[in-house]
Amino acid sequence: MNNEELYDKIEAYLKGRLSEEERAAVEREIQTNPEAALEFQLQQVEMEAMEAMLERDLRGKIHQWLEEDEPLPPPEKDTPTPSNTSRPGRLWIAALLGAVVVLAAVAWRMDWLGYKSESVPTEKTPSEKENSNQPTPGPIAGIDEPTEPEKSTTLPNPEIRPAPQSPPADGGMMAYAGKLYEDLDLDNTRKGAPMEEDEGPLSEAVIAYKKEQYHQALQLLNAVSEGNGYAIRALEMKAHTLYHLKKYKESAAAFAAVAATELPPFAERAQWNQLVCYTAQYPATKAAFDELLAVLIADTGHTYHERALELQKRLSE
Amino acid sequence: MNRDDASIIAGIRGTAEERDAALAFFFRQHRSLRAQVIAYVAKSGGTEHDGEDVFQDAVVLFDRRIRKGAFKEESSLSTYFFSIAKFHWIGQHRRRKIMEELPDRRDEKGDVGPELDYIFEERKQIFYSALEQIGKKCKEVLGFYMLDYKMEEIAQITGRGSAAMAQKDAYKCRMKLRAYLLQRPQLLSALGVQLPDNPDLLTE
Repeated sequence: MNNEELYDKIEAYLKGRLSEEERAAVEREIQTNPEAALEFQLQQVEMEAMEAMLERDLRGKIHQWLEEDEPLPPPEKDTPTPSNTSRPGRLWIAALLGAVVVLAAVAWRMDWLGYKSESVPTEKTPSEKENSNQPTPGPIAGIDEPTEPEKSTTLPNPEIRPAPQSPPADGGMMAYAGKLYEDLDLDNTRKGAPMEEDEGPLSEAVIAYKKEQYHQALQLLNAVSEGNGYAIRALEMKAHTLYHLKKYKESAAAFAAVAATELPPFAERAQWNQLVCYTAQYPATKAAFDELLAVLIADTGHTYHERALELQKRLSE
Repeated sequence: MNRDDASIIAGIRGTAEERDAALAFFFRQHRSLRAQVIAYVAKSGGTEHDGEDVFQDAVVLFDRRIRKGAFKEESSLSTYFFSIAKFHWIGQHRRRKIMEELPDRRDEKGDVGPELDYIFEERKQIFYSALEQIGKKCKEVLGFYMLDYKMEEIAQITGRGSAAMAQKDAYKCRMKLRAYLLQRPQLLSALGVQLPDNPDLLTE
């Protein structure tokens, strides 16, 4: 079971949507696989947190319900007991709410997106949605980003880069991935280290990285603790180091973790390099590759949107 | 099951607005439930204050169980609600008695109810602090997700282009919540999460 399947299965398990047989399989996985055990616990905690949110909201309303004397109309009596697949009788509420939220969202996005277009991204069909893996972590367009994400001046401009050459017909994608790969901006990484920590593991790792001593760099980067001020840069560098060591699977996971921070300029570049890692392992990683490529293509504001489109075109050729 | 109950269940399993309306209707229709719960608790070893707490806890459990499909529709909703409150109090009272009778607790003043409450409260505070970090929009999306909205509905309400985008948002919001907790292993420990020996599992 890969990570995405594991995530989906545990989610379904916690939501009570699995058959007895499937539940038993998930329980076996949790007992034998430490990664599954951790995922299970994390999802449990997340769901509990979300329930706590609903609970707090509900408790705030209880007295109001009991104290208000105004008569209430009964709920729609003709509404049949709903299933999870249909919700008759409330489309108008959704439509009204949707209109209000869309207007607010458009006004808000206009404010921070500026010139960016609002084109509707490619939509999956319901069956595709059902079969799809979880989206890859990355910045959330339109979610909790009150200001325009800062774009690093050191970021390469994907639009002025030469288009990638077509992939080799024999399926050997590693070399092709190398053409797509965005290497680490070492000068920027160096600047990110606080002065008092210049002699710390990150600085030493930068030196090792520059000398292409990737095993040593990796050791040094593993010594960087999560709590310090340049942990994200260290994580990004670790992802690149793993890439140079041709540990593409681990590299993709590290890039995914960088992308999950949603910090510009790291996140979008990390997503692209994650895609590059999948390209290097193609076709074994086809599902993950397709999923991530679709995310980049759907996100018209993504720094690597154009390059993703170009890549898709090349692959189709 | 009468038609009102069927409609209330439909409402509770519906949108946020329908859920609120259905619960409000139910508790106004059965105003005496609160007094009945308080009287039951007072008669069964608790105080009026305990009764009020039990009533409120029962509202939360009632809502949750109906949403999760645990109500088997073998009784009326008001009977179901009262049985939730009753068994919640019985469980709470039993735990208090057990804790009071533990040898190392005998010298302590008062019961340990507040202590247990404190643990649960602390747990909730951790969740609230984590939820504050993910922002209002994410909380809204996750609220819809927990209420089992379909992704198409979330997309429509939040103004996202498609179900796939809404699904992406919901996932990323969960990952934001997770990232906040993963960066604070002490909070995860406090929540009872067994952290792995291999720290790489926390990042992969």
